[in-house]
Amino acid sequence: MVLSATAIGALLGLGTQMYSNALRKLPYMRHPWEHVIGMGLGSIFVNQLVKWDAQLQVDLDKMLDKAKAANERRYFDEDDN
Amino acid sequence: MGTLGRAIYSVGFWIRETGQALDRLGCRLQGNYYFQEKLSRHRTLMNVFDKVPVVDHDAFVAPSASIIGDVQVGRGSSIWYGCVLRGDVNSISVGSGTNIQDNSLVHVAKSNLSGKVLPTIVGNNVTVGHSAVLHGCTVEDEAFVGMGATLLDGVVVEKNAMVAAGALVRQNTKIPAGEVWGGNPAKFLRKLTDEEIAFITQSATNYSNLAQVHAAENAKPFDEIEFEQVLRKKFANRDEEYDSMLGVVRETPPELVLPDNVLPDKAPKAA
Repeated sequence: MVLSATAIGALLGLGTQMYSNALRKLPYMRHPWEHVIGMGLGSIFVNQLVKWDAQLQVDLDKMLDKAKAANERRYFDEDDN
Repeated sequence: MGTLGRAIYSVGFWIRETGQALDRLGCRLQGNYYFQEKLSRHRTLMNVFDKVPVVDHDAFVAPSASIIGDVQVGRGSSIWYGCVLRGDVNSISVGSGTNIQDNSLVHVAKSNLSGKVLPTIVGNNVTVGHSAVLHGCTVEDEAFVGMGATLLDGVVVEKNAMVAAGALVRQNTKIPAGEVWGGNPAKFLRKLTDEEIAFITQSATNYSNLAQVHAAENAKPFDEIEFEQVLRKKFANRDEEYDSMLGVVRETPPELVLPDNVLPDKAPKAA
């Protein structure tokens, strides 16, 4: 999971740097060290994104559980009255 | 070069570029900005990926000439100042004892009407005059191409043939041995005399001797040139009367005597 996220992030960073060079009509690999920085940033970004997404899912599940509990309480409470 | 070689070449390019950037960073940190000085990056011999020019050790290539790509230059040949020999899409071969004089252009054909890819072959002891343009043609041994002549794709100049100065030889023309062609488009003018044929080899020898002098002079390091400048100043020719008044006999030091193999009968002929 971490490995594939890192790989995808590295590719994304590399692609972005090459795209940025291409937009400026430079050769794709001008300033090759920037591509390494791009790959690093990309992999950090994707890893953080995956982490944040998992955390968000957990939080959302918690909130949904709470909402469900509230709904059920209302449902059964109304039934009781 | 295969794909692997090309890959190694480009990775090497990236590594070198990064190294240069680190070097520039180091220079900036040290506070010297010499690396920003703009100098011409001209090199006499340039390769296009793995197409490296092969120049014989005895050949003279002027420092302002450019030999690019797949070019072979034989023994005793001379490529003079401002020449361009560009063998990027096909090969150029220059034989031995040949001279290609100043500002000439030798190229190969990639795209022409017939779509044929042609190399340029220049034989031995050929004289190519100043500002000639040779494009995808064959010039055989002991031929002569006059100044400012243009030889288009597929031209064959046979042995001992001559292209007159300023001529434009059209595509796929064959100039037979012992004939002079000139004009635009080039037409047969007349036969060469034996004297003129003899002059062609003579001219090649002259030029290869002259090339040796130029090669020796160009190979001198900076301080030797400075030293010779001082010597020349010291041993400059004074007026005869001035010298006789002082009673001095001046001798020229051996460093200042130019080699006399400029004269054709004083040096061995290049093979």
